[in-house]
Amino acid sequence: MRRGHKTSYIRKIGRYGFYFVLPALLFFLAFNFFPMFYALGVSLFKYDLLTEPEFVGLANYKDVLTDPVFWRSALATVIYVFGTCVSIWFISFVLATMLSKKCWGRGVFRTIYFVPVIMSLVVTSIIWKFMYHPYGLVNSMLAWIGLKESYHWLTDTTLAPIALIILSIWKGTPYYAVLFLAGIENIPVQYYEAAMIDGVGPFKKLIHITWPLLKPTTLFIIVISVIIGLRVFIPQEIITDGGPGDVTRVITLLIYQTAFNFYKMSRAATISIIMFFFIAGFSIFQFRLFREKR
Amino acid sequence: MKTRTMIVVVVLFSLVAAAPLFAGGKQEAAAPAEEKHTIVFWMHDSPQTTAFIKDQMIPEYESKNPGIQIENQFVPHKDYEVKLITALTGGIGPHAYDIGDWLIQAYQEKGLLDSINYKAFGFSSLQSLEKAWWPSSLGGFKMKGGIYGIPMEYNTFSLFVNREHFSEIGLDAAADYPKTWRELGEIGSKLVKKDSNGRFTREAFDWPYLGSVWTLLTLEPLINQNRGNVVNSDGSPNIDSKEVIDALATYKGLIWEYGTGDPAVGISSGTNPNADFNAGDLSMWITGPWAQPLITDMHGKYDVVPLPQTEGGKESTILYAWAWVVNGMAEDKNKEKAWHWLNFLSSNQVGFLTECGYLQPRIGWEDTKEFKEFPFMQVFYDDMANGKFMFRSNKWAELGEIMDRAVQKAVKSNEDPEKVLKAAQAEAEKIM
Amino acid sequence: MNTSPVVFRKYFLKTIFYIVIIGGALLAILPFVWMLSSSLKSANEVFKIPIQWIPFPPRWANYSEALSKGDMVLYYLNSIFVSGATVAIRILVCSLAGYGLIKFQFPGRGLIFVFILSTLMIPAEVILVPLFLTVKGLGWLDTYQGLILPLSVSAFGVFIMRQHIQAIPDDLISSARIDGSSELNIFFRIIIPLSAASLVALGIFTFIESWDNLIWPLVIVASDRMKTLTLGIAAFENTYKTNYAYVMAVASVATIPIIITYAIFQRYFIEGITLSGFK
Repeated sequence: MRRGHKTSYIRKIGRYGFYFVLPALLFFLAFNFFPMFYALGVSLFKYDLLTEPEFVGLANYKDVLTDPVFWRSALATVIYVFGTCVSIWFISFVLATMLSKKCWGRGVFRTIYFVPVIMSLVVTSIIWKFMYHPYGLVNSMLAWIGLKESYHWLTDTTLAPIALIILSIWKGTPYYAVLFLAGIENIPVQYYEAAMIDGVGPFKKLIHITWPLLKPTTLFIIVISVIIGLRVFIPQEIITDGGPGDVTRVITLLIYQTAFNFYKMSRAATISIIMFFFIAGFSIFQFRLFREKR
Repeated sequence: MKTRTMIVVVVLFSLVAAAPLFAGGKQEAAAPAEEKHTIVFWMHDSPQTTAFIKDQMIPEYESKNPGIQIENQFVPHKDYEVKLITALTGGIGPHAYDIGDWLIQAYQEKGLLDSINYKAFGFSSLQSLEKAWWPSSLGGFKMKGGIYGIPMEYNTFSLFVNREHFSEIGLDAAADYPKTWRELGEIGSKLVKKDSNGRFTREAFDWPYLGSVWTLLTLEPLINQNRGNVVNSDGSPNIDSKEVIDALATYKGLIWEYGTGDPAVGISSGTNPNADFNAGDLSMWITGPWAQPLITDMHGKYDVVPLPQTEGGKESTILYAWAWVVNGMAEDKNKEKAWHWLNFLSSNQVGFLTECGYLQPRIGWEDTKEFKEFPFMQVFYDDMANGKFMFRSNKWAELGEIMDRAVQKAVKSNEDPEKVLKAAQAEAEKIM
Repeated sequence: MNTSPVVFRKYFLKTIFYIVIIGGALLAILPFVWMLSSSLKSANEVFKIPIQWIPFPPRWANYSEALSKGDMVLYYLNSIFVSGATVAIRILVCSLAGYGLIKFQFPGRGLIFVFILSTLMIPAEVILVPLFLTVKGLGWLDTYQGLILPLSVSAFGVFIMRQHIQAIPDDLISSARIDGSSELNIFFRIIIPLSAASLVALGIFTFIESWDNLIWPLVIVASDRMKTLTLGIAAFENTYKTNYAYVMAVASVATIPIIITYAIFQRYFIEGITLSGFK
């Protein structure tokens, strides 16, 4: 084929590619990109849904960043993310290791362990809300093992965040375990066989073979779990409504309440933008890290 | 591209993107498509009232006014204001709805309320309309020369006590009821019942944990009794004043010093706040006259007594009213029809009393049997005489929420009142 | 009998292993079982100790009574419709986009892909307010399109489909072209069937995510008849907190169909999750 003919043919076909991408592109522009800039724009004004917007430049940012309410919310979010994610990393890894072993009933176990993931978070939150009642299941089971106190899981300022963290660990661990599992099962059997021949024990196998080869999966899990953790909303909204006081009022809840309980749209937008920068910054940092390790 | 240029571009683009904010100007409510005249009517969901309005009032009105359809929605308490404001500002709000008196100022200033259409009520002037209501009952709704709401229930909070529990410890509820908060605690500690595991099987007294409105309705009397106030006359917050701190200390003292109840226990909800008292799991409970038709299991077993007072304090109780209002942004013809509907609603005082326990302060039914026989009417009347409405502010929602969170920390987690109120005051000052 | 230390240790470890794994499985499933158990009790039995796991007699009436209050059936149907539509749109648009991005050459292709990926960093909560304002401006508040469209496309979806379509041999496509097939034809007749597995997985993943969404319907829905199941359950709990058993009954009704579907289509569920893990 003559050169010119070939390239114009490719270009002609190539156009279709663009057409196929177009619907998705339009959606993203309309419902992700545009609102993002809209938010940025709104954050430069003072707007509470009914009064005329008034340009204030960066005043909202100054306001929010010097507001203890915002920082308490940030702290509540960090506590939640840290408590949930770090625990999940370890527990799901252990779980994945266990589920990777050939054992009796492995298939059944895998099925059962995955149930928390597919249960609706709304339903889960409601069930755990009742479980955390002073006379509910959690305290009853604790009493059974000797801890007889009627813990106030949802009304104590120290226990409430912990209660929500435990709930999230319960819900999320199997999900990440599956990811770890996929990573583990991708490790070529030959490595383990070679180790067995060399007479290497199980723990050494873990440290020298499993762990290093799992690094990309691990990194991925770390990034995803943190981002998902930062976005948490449902348990805090349904179970504690940010309370008692505001110890469980995470950023998403703060944004929601600022916008829809107090109609302070521009302030809510400001907090959203700050949150976005944080998430974006974190993601970029992680991606850099990931690329370096490679 | 240099970073600085990029930032400028981003900011410019954002300002352009925010242009739609100005495009609409003042929102004009687009009423839902109407072939028949539809009046959209929203109310808080409360089982008895919902049933009464849905099953009796609406069908009756519609049969008397063919060509008009009432599209009603009863919204759970928790989400009510959120949904309402969202809908109102989105142009899909109801034509008529209900709100509490404490929000009238904020809503009116935002143009969400219509001043009453006295013609639709059959009056020739605003003054003649006013005379048809109990004196000063419309006071909480008068602003800027108009009247912005019609009270559907006019309330105070009094103390309900379980007669049988009292007699168990040898007391006569009608005579030996607690007159002060201290007495409430003392009697309460004797009424509490726990099982072998230390679990409450019966609370003596507990506060409501149902949101900022309930919290302030029950806390403000204590503040007023101390001769204090939540906001100063200029509207600035006064949250960390000694009177408020003392009031909160007394408030939480009932739980933590006298042990009359446990905030984490109990089954009351926004829609059924009297559940614990009704079930006999709570000996004493502060609530309003509207609770009486709801506590069907307690009929004949309880007494209503005056709200406890503070020793050495001013005699003071609370006043509050829920009112029907009309959307200020609706089209005129809808507004008129909405007021007509509200007139109908507010003319059935007897029905609302017997079915819902609502005292409607519209003159004309004081001679009826139902009015005279309404249980404990005298107690409510006397409490109303000492009553004061909740603090007024156009930032009520936020101040209320700030205070509620402080109270939660103190009462649920046993934190120090002074500490939490000082923090609340700082927050409040920031939002003013 | 040979009870050497090594053998003993092996059996010991194995026992620990089973204790842990069974214990964990019980914990995993405990709330679900408790929900079912409580749904058949009367309200004041729910918290009685010692816990009676199998209520006797089971109060089946809870289900009919709880479901008769409010419009649970309507909410259920709404959720099915909204989630179903979301899945349909997402599968279609994302596979189209993925296909376009990997099997075609056009200027700006790389840039567009990066742009799409970058939207992953914009979580719904951050754009909640402007998205609400945008949808309000479009007049889509309290409508199905407002519920479905803004969340219908996902960068994850595009990424996954692109990844999987990559594996389809180019020859298949070019020979179809030579045979005179139109591009759309190629897409529907070749690409779609060959990526069926990933489409199903993506579909399931999307369905679960959409089914469980609370924050968006909370903001968008104003009237009763537009409520989705999540809103219905949340509102129900708010109103009927008094009766734990009723709430658990409603929760069960919402959950059991999902569990059954899961039990049948397990493989696809897990695959859907794992899919998102591959970088």
